[in-house]
Amino acid sequence: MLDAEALRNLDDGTIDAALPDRPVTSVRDLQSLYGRLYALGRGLTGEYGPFLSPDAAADLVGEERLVVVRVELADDEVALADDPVRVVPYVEERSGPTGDGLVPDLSHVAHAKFEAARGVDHSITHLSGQTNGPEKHADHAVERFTRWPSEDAVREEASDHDDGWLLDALDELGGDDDAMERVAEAVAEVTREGQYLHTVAFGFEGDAVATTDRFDADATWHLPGEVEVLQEAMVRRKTTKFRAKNEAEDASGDGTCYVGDTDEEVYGVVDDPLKWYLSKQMERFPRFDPDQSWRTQGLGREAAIAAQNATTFLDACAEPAPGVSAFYFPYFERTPTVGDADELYSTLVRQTEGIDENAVASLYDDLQDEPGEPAEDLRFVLMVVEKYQKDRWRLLAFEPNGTVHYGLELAEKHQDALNSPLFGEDGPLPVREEFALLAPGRNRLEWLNVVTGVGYFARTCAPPDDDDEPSSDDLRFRATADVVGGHRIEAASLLSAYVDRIAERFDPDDDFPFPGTAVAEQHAQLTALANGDLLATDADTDYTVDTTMTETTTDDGGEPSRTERLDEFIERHDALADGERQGVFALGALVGRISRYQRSKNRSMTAVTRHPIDKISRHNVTQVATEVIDANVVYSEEEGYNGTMYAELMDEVVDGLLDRDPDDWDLDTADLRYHYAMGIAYGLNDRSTSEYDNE
Amino acid sequence: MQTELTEHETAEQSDGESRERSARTPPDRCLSLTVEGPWGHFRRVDGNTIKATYRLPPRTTVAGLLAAVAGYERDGYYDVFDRDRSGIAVQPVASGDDASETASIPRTMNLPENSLTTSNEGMKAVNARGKVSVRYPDPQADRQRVNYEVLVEPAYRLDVWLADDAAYDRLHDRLADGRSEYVPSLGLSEFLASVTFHGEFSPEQLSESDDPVAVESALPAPDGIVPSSDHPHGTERSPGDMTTTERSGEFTGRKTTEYLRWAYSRDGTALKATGVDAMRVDGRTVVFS
Repeated sequence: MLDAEALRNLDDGTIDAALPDRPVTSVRDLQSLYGRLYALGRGLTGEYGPFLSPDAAADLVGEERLVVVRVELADDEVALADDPVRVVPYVEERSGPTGDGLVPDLSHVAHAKFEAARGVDHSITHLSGQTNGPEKHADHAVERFTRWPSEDAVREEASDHDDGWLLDALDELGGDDDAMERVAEAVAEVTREGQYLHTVAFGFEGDAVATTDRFDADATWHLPGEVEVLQEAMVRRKTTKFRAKNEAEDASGDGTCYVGDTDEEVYGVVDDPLKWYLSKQMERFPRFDPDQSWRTQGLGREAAIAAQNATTFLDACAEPAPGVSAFYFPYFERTPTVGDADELYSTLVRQTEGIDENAVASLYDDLQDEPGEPAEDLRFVLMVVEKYQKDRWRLLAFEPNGTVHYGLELAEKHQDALNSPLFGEDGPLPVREEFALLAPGRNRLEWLNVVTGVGYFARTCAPPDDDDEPSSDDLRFRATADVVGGHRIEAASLLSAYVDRIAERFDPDDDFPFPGTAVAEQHAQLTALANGDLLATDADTDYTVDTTMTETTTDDGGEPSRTERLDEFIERHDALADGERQGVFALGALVGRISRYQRSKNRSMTAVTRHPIDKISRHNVTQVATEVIDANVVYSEEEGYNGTMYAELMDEVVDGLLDRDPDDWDLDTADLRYHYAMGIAYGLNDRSTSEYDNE
Repeated sequence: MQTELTEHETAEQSDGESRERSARTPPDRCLSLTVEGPWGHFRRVDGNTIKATYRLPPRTTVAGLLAAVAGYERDGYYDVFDRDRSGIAVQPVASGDDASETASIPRTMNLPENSLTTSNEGMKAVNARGKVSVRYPDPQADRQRVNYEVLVEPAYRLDVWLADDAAYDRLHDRLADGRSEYVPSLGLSEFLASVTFHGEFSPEQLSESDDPVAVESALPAPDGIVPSSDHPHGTERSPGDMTTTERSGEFTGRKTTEYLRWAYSRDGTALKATGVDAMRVDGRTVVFS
């Protein structure tokens, strides 16, 4: 249907004429550009092409599903032809008439769907429901005469257009009960249950009515796409929706088009396919009047219809995310060239086919292969949207100026973290190919796709617990927008969401109650954000981590001892230079180690279950430390040690926690819990438990 | 609370002459000031279900703010600030407390509001027919929580020239006196702005050159911008000019006649661009819109 290479078959002039002469700078600009590309690729050319909706009846293409009622025009009157009803195949494109004497392709049938559930389509051509039976089809066919011609906009066109008599005559024929009965009986006979397109074909001589550029002189019967007044009536019906909606009766005036910069009649209540601009809003401004909305929101006719045509491409750019949809709309930060249009178009068509990458990563991928197409101009709009009703969406996060720059930078930092000595098959923190944020084997592009997705934060952060509905306060969505826009994320909020997620995943009844890999994912992310300068912290806090590859060598050149490994881990973390944080981390590590020991001895209750992270605070951390140290002393005695097991951790805990009264600490609770959890992950993951003292 | 404002003189009444300066000729003088506040909200016109904000005050908003300082009534100042007869440069700067930091585009946060209407039909009045009457929004009216995206601690250095000498002097006097006729605000009326006047300057036109110039202010219509992959700039499109229209009812006194495309630096790094009409004002390079 949509061909990714369709634009390559068009001449450059045609494409260039459809492109704006300045870069995309607003969501409406974007909609308009996507809509124009869609119309170009879909062959919706000419004056009326962009108003048609060929995809609505796409399933009928190639099928005998076009019901045609034939009428003859003569002397400003309309009469049913003999044997008026035919069912013919509906085709994509045809160069001449069929044996039935008409050209039943999409540009001649000229279907323009009306999205609303009620009412007839904008065009006289109408699409039935999918499960209609013959009687319903009879109704649809009859309504081409009894209903469509009497619609308000069609009545207005009847009085304005030179060929308005045709619309009047159709209306009049609709009042002829005998004629309508003939139509109904014939249609009921030739249709069966299923979906059909219903239209009217006209037989006339010479210049009885003005025709369009689609007129086929060889045809005996002419479909609505060939008759100007029918097309104009369709256009009027469709544009009426741009000016009249809800409270607005006529939101139009002589203004300036927000997209085209042209002075023309502009409309104020043009449908937004992304439902960000809705005409019925709880606005609290004095003197607010929807009929005057064109003064600040004005779109001209061409831009308005282009925006409507963007729907297919806009929808295709959605990525699923928890409870919401995240849209990635790529564009170039430059006046689009024919080459840009082709790149963008083929990316968008591929998105409609449902590929795994988001539209931005996909387009970036393409640009890599083509020298001379600098990706630094690649931008995108990110919108995280909750679709709480079919036509009511809530925008939860928005970044109009997303660039791949920050994503690539973050991707690199994340990869660096996983490839650093902090992560590995045997620790200190685990790598796991099956975990999205712990898979070191990915390439840069795959990482770009990961870090720009909502899933990047949805994996590591808990949703806010006080609200069941998705909310714009939800850090998972805000953080995604921040990353692609290059804005720093508040570290305190992030750690708090991390801690909530760990608590949520903690399962005391499980054999492995502590979500160690979740913490490792968080740690890789926190490190990447800090190292990529995307974390906002207060002046004396620094979460950056040394992720260089240099391995610490030991004095004797052998494997580093457990103490050396711990020292190196701590040294690489700037945050752990703080004594209190270091103490908390060591306490966590000790809890992790002891739990591992306890598990090896088949003890039912482990330290990690006894001291869950959401119960740790400044007020009880000393108490917990004392209990854990006591337990370790007891186990050491049981094992027959002269000293204690894990002496290196014992020292750290004592130095860090018992120096100052924790009630006087500056350490924020979320920060404390996070580093405690990181310690547990570290301790649990250390497999060198066979040598408890390893000094 | 809202009090009825008395009719102020309009631009037409006070500024009759000095229109001879042709469009876009380099101004011989300009006023320079900083506006800042704890919050700002410059509503994007793209959408309305969530009230998103522009990062820069639109040119029409700056004109309105300056008109408030000078004391023009609503719909009474569009001629004075017409794009052909005035110039405005906008530069994001660090706000008061952080003045030593590099100026970057202010961060934003969501602020939920349960707003009440201040339109006439929604107001309650106490002693409506008396000598002194007070009108206030009906606190029992239905409310809906609406999220506003707000700028946190926004601050902008503004440079402005007006071809209309009387209007220029009028604005100059108010700024120099540290006085404002109406309350200046950053977008919404509740986001009060504080204004610091830096004085009057003589803009110097930079000599024409094919080399890119580094510009500290935001760039209007930035066609010649030199992209930097390390410091990607942001862009937005906001109302640039308005005109007075005949009133046939409420909210009909004006319409947007032009939109402007802006490029801004996200992190305070000067933007590089070719073919721009850059001027030196008080040691900075700016482009007037």
